[in-house]
Amino acid sequence: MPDFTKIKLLNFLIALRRLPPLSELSGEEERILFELKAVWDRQGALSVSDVYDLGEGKSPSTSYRLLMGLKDKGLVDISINETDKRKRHVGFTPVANKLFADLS
Amino acid sequence: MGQNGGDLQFKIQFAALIVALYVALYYLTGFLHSENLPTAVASLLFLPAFARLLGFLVIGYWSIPALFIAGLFCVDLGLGFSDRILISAFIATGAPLAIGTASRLLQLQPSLTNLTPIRLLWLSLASSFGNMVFYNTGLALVGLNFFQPKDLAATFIGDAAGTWAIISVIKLSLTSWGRWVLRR
Repeated sequence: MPDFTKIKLLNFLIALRRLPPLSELSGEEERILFELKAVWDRQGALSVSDVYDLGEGKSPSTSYRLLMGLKDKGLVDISINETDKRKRHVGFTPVANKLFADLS
Repeated sequence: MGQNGGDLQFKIQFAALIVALYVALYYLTGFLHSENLPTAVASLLFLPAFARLLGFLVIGYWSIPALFIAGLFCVDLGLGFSDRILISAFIATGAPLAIGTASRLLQLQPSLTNLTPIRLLWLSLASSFGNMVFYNTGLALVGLNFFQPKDLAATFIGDAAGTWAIISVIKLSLTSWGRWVLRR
């Protein structure tokens, strides 16, 4: 686990990144993208319902809107489960995977 | 080295970075003003003020010794060494104490996870206010200034403007870097 002070520095930079004016990928979207990656690394899979649990203090509709923002910007794919049509899976596009690789 | 030891080592390294950043930004401010800053009481764009905010938010009260050392490299004002030590001590403590108080009032989490833009704005204003009071108190104690409204305003505005100037540069740099990574 990273040192607490390093986490504080990272959160400070994230706070600066979230300031307006927003880039193509907003700070909120960037944050949820990396939170999704953390869940993916833990579980090996992602569903849309996982997104609702992310984003501290955010409503599920806000989290869903952010997910749709990531989809529109070509960072995630959303596919319907073949056996259970009610379930939808979230996957990362090559652009997102390249971003993770560059930053790892 | 254990986790706590690693964190302590990082804090010390970061404190050294704050010293270097403060001194570098101080001389950059002097360069931008094209004036001999060591003799100026206050600048309307005081870039090192950002180092006070960054220092406290990341390493807390560890930033006080770092800012004190940095102050010794920067404070001149035509003063003797003992007066420079006094002014540096006041410069080092005002902003951290104010940011610490504001952090509690704003219910800022220690990990900074709820550091929203509006909280950042309030913290920067608190930092500027704290430094304005302490710096001008220090100046008064060495007989240079007796809380003239003009000097108080210049200190406050200069610190706030300087802090946000550097924040804007970092924000733009992070945005540009993010775009570059996405497009590569």
